[in-house]
Amino acid sequence: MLKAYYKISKFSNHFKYKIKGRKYLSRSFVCNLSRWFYSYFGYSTYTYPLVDVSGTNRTNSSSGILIGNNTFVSGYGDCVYTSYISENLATSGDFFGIVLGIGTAAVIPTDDNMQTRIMHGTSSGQLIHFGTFANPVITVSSPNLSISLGRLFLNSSGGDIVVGESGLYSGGISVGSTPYAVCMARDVLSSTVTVSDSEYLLVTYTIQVTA
Amino acid sequence: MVPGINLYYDYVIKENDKVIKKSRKYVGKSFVKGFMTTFMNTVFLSSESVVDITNTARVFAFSTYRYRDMEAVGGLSSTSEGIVVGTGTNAVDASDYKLQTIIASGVGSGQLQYGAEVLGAPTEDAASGYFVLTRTITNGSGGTITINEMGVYGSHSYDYTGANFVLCSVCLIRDVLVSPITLNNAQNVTINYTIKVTI
Repeated sequence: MLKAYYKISKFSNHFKYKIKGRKYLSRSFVCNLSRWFYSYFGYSTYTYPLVDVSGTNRTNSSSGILIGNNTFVSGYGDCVYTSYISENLATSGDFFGIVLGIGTAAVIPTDDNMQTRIMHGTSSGQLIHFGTFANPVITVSSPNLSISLGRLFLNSSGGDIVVGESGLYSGGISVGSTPYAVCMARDVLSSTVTVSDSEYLLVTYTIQVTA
Repeated sequence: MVPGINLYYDYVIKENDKVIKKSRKYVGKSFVKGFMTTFMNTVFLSSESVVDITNTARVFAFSTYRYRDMEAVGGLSSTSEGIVVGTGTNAVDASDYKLQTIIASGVGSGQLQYGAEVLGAPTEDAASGYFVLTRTITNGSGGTITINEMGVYGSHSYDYTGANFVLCSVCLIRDVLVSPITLNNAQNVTINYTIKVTI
């Protein structure tokens, strides 16, 4: 089977641990991931729409590429987060990868976005989103194989932000050459995490297959 | 049920449309490294080499070549894609890159006829989303064949030559059966693999 774990750690502005999070089993790959696998297994013969984060069904283009340029990883590994601001939200890095929200409603399989997404920025209620990074090598610890990804967030909003949910958005579906963000996983945190101004959160996901 | 992507298989053996045996649903244990690598390359846009069923490492020159990542709907007689079966009994290892001893397609001794695979549309309920791959395999060999292992092979594009994508076959799933399938001559077995996302 394939399962995922997440971990949230909090740091001061001098990168001292304030919370050294433990690993939790992620409960929440959602139906989009099942549809995504279906589309991959079925290639051009079998297609099924995924629902993007705006709630819109997205189906494949005539070329048969249902999901192109798909990635949980933001395209901005250099962490130059300011480059996001001028970009189209549909494709910019802060719309892909690990995302956070303040919602606490229980996960249901048909969730297609965070309940209340925390957006990138420095305004009230916003967190600076650095690039999502990934270890592009499979860790082998028989019978387990795992891959991991992480993202750093900084609160420069001037106030506290209470994080209640996290998830994985993929630049998952391509219609023509336009990718749309698709929610593949959503987790409601076991307990909320309060991030004060100038504090960092590091969120990591480990995706593991057990043979 | 553990949250995550769970795998199950079941099968029905028939002879002339008469059901001989209907199995219970078994937990399929074994996504293997080929699955993890193709999944990772897809979601991270990374370029980890994938070992195909010939034990050849395939390296992507370009993300553009990821046109087809894990197509697993085997056509009539195809044993390079879709549900495949074998006679091997070795325990599954995460680095398995093929079935131990695949049963070839045909009507010769020790061979089975692979039908065209079907992918059932996704079904979603209050706790899960899933879909089912189904393939019927017929014994026209004249003898009895015992199936001990099965799995799923996917087609993976890794190169582009002459305006065509170059494909290799990658083992995505391998399971050693809890209870072997004995298939007599003129019998067929319909195998279902269910891939289920559970919260």
